[in-house]
Amino acid sequence: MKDSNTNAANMNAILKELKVQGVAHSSEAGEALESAGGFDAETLCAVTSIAAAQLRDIGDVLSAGRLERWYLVTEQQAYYISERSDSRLVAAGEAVKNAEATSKALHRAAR
Amino acid sequence: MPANSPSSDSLPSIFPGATISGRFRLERLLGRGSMGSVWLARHLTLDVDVAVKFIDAAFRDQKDHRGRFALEAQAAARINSPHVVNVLDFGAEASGRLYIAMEYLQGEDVGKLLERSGRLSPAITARIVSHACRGLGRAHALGIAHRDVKPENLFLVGATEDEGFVLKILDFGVAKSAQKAGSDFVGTVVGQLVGSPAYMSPEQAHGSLDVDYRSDLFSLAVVAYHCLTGVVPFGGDSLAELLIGIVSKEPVPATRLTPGLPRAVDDWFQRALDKNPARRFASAKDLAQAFHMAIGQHASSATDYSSSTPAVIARGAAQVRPLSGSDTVVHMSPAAGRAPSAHHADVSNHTPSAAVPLALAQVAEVANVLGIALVGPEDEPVAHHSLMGLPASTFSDVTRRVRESLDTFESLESTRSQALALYFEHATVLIRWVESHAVIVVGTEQVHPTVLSVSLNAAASKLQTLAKQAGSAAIAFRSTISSLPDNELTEVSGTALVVRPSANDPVSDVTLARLTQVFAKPLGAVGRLAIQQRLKGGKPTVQAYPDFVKRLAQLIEDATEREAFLVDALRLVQTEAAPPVPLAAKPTVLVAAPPPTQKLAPAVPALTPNPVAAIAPPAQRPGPAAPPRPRSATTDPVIPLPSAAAADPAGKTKKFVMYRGRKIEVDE
Repeated sequence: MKDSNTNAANMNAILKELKVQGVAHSSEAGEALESAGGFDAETLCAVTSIAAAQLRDIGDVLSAGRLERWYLVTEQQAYYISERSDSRLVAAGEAVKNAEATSKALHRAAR
Repeated sequence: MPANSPSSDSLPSIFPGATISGRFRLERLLGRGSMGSVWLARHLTLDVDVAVKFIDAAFRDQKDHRGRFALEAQAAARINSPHVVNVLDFGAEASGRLYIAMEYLQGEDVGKLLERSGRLSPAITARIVSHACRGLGRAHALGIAHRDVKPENLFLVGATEDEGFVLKILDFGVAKSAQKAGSDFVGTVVGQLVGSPAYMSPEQAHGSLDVDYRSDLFSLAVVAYHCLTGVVPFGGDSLAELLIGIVSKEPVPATRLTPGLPRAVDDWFQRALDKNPARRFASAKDLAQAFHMAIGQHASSATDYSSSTPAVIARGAAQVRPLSGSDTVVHMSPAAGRAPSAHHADVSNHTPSAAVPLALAQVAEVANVLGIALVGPEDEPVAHHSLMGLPASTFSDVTRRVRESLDTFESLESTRSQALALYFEHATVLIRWVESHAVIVVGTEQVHPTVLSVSLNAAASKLQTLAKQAGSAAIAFRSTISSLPDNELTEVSGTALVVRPSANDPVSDVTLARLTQVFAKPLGAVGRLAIQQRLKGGKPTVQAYPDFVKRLAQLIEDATEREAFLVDALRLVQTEAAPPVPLAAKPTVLVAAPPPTQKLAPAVPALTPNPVAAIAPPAQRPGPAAPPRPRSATTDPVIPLPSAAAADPAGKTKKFVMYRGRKIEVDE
């Protein structure tokens, strides 16, 4: 899958703008289509795909509609995900206190 | 020997008034078990009540029974869980008879409660299962299987009617330690039945030696079945018939015996009572979580088996409030109770019952927030508040789903999640983890993400502080927040989250928990018990606290340890006044909206705080109708400041909003 927003050049641009360790374009099934930066994109895309499927169910529980974006901060890492209809943009960076700005920036970049 | 001493205890040393090992004076016989007797005794040094269990004279010289008795003491002492009875001492009295000294519990066991009540509510049953699983989980992690889980061995301390009890597991007398398996001592011999027949697992009924923790989980499921239905799942006119039933028959579905129970409960029993241990729940934690989910929102209602309100949030739901008789407000004066005194952070002496809801309230106050909850480690709701009447079980459900979905992430780097944000088309869900608890907030899609995030972080920090104040184990923190009723929002007072008690106020539970920890340093479990006993007469006031501490110190024999205790204990309560801090926020009105059972139209102004103090009640709480309250720009806690926009060196325009007197940068 290639489109104007997620080609390799754009991956690098997003990486620079977000100041994260890595960015990847993942298929809905969790296959890493393209990536930039020094991180294990294949694993992260696969894990994200599994988690996203379960997190989407929460939208059903709450009648909240489609999951648009999400982020997870652990003790060491922060993961940012922007969902699209048939794919997602995934980024990984260091753990931060306020991940909101990066999450929004990634979401904008994915549009 | 007095005439009324028990005949079976024929050795002369066991009678009321007898002194055991120079440490305990026997008061009276409490009861008899299969292997011995249990006495109420007084700890002579600490002057507290304890329970002392003796092995009967008939078993005194039998190696296996002596070994089993010793194993019971060792097992219970190693487990060290708030849900397992606390062992204080183990030894032999003058005639050689073994004894175990334990904390003296007041309450009743589940067996007696069942005798009295017939069957129990889902809420009480869920609490029993949850607490028992915590105790068993700890034992299982140490390789110890109880092997006699039954109602009589599940003791409820505290009031059972209002679910305020704490369950403690008794009698590890037939416990089996995996570490002992290869040693000389084995708790049972092949073919010997160990345990109480009606609650036995199939493997126990077979007399197998291959009995592990999964047998305990089966037995606990039998107890749960008994609690919910009033009968045990396997019965019969004879022992043989009973055992055949356990190993070969399927129980009647619980929903058939107790109509109104969720169907998921039948599925849970099917798995928990599977004849094959490998197909049962993998752990006590899994069993408890699955039970909680199977029971669902029934767990939050002691009697209601049918009030199943689906959780629905619709776009704009928070903004629409029809003039309906069901729209309820509960007014609360800001001066209700003692007016808060605002001080800087000496939270060790705060009022804990207010601090947790205050921390939650701070988030609930953010515009477009629909509800917030504190959810426990087993996804059980601890405290929650929802303007929209979202039930506590919805928060639990969402938290559970999140936890399950993040398992793979956590395995990536073996660290725990700290924060999660989910942005849906029509809702925003934020979670912050604090210790083993999750703070979860649900808002509409219109909630300001940065403000909500900052507010949630602040609340989480406060909860974290409370947890730390309660000690590293945070047990007291958990017990404190567990005692909070749902929807308790006592006051909303801006940044003033700390209420310093006056001299005549009782010392807080958190402080007493810390004092207990300090006192346990020199005296161990006995020290904890001594404080518990003294608190039965009531908590000391701030003024009386120093005397309370000095009296405790007299129990410490070593002068150096006594001095160290006094210094640490007196430091816990500071009675001098701290400089006041003006309240940043006005009293707040939070007006309840009807339960969100239908899709509602979008784009109507949100409810926001207003100078009339009120709190949102649960949707089912009766009360007077309230008219809709339009948004008031002057009382909105989030005030955009157009003049606050500024250009940074990179040429980007920064924007700020003011929230609770703080300038918060936003990125759009």
